[in-house]
Amino acid sequence: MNSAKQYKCPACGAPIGFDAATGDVTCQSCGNAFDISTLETLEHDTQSFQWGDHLHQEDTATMEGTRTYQCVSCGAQIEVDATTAATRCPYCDNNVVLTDQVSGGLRPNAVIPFRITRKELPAVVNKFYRGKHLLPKTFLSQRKLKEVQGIYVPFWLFDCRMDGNMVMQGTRIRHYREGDYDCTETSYYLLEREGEMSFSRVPVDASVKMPDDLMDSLEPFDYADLVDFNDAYLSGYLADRFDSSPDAELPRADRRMLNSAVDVLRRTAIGYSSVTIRANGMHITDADVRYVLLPVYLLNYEYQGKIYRLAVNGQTGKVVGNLPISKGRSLAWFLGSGAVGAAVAFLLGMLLQ
Amino acid sequence: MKRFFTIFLCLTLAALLTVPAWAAMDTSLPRVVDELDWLEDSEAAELNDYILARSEEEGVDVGIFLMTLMPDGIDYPSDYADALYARGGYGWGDTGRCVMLTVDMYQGLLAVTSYEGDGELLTPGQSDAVSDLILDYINSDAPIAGSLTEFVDQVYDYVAGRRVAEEYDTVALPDWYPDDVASFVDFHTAASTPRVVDDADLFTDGQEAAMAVKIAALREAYNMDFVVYTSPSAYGMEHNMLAADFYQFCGYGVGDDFSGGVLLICMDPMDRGWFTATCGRYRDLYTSQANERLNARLRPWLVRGAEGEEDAYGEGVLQYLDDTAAVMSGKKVYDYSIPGVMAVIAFLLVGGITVGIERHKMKTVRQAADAEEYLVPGSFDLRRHRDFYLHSTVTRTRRESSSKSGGGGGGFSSSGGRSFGGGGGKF
Repeated sequence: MNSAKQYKCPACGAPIGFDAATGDVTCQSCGNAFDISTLETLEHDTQSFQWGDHLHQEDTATMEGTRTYQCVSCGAQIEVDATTAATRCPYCDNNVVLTDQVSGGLRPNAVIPFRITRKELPAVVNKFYRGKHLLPKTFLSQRKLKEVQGIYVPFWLFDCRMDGNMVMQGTRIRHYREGDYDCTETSYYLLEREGEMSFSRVPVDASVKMPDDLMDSLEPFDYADLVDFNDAYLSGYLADRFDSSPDAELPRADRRMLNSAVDVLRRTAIGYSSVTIRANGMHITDADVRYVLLPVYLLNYEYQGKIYRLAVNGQTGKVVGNLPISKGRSLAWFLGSGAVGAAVAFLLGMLLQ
Repeated sequence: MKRFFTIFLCLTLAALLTVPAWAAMDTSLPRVVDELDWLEDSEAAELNDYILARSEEEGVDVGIFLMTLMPDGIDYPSDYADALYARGGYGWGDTGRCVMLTVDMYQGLLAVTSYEGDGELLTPGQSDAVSDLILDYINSDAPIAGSLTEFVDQVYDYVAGRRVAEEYDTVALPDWYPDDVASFVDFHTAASTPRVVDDADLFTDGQEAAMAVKIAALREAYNMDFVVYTSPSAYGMEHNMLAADFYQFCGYGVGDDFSGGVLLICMDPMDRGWFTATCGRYRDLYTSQANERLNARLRPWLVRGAEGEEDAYGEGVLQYLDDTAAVMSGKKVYDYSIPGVMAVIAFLLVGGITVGIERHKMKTVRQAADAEEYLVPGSFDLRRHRDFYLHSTVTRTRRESSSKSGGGGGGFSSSGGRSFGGGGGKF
């Protein structure tokens, strides 16, 4: 039997949970609020994730299947995914933090607490629908909200230094007249650049079951809100521990940093009409990683037999998701805007003719 | 002895003075000049010998001159032949009987000229027959060498009466042609002189009236004359000359330079075509480009008219007058409606881009491609920065001349000696 933990009000003993609106832990029963640091004094687990610590690798075998916990509140057996770090008891609905998933070498280095409350979600999502002119007319009325989850998603934050060189070909074009001829002179140059640059806290989600593109789209997170991890932040939300190692996810971060590094070096080729990259030798020379939990709301809607998932950045309120597109409205917009453009062009043509 | 020598000298001089210049046929002069390389050297030499041999038999000299272009100062191949003949050395017998074939490839012109004394050795029908023989070969893929030999043979056959050419009646000049071109005096016609002269009866009354209105507007707007002339015959003249002579001899033109132009549509069954003759200021405005565009847009109408489509001639000319107005105002003439094309393109572009943007807004899930916002400010250290010059290439494009060309057909002079420009075509 694995260990589960439930935070209880120091005043009345009732279950307590993290309140995104105040940033405190509040008791729904007596209404008292407690600073996270108060609860921290109850916890003295100073160990946290370190890259190179093989604990997570050894734990890979335990990431599959399910695990069973006993609810501290009602004593019921709770069966959860092997990577679940916080959940709700399906019997008593109390918040449960599975401490063995967030302790020792699995303890996140930091967390960004939720800032958007569940009550604010409808307004945030409705704002997202504004200006989506191709949304089917019946979507807002016929969609069915199947599920809302506030979940702490595990992320790796990579700190890297990129070093190397790049060879480019640049062209400069000069136009001039020579007698009865228009001349175009194209001069070719070989450009060599060598340098280094640092990237800080490049996020890559560490959860296999979370779609990468969905998580990428939620960026950016404001790292000013990063705080030391405390179990209490998970209370009231779902949470997963990482199930993909930093070594497995580093290539994703590497690709992004490489693209930016190439772009930075390319921008040093000033005064050329065109620049073509011939060789690129940029590579990571130094890397570090932090394990953090970032707040995300997932909302699943059912519309005309299909599930549409929206994700909300639980810190900034940024909403992302692919919405259904109305063919009728697409055609109407094409014809309408095209007609306006055609009318303007026709008038211009009449004037120019 | 001295007396005998004196008498001999006098007799010799007397004989030389009484013999015409062309009587001294110079066999060393080439009978075949092939600047076009239509013949192999051996073929040319063989043909040259053949002509010299047949000249003795038939009593007629023949010259074949295949030229890339005419020498300076000579406009037409017939003039070139005249100049060669006048220089001497060509022509057989006392009357200098000679036939010359001259090709000017640059202008695409061919002339068969014949000489006998002060007249012509070949009749018009015979000249046309041997000209057509060469033209048929040029327009076919058959080897030209054979046609030139056949040309020589036919010339001798016609002269000897072994072959008879189909002759046609000489067409009388049109009634507006002056009896004496040399003494013709330019005059400015009254405004009431018709600007639409439909001798070929191609237009309806309504079309003629519409043309007259458009022409009047053009004349008033640009102070130049514009005339539409249809003719059932070419009167044996080139279209450019017919158009220019009509314009001059009928007294059209505004100002001291007789500014204006005439569109001739010639319905001669043997020589159907059109020509715009331009004069004075209009000659400067009527550029090669304008000529090409106007002709390109007019020709399909004329073809449709020739195929029997009702009103096509008139509609084409009405459009031509609209295009002329556009040319006069410095606007480009197109085969299509510019506003219409712009509208269609804008419709597709704006509609497509708008829907593209809207669809983009509906899908906000995308993989991150870069990490620009995670680049640590000030961390970029550019250690090396070197630019090496490799090489250069230069492309040269000839500038399109902005000078006025005076039309697609270049300049020419009417029978009355006035300078014209313009261009036309066949349909």
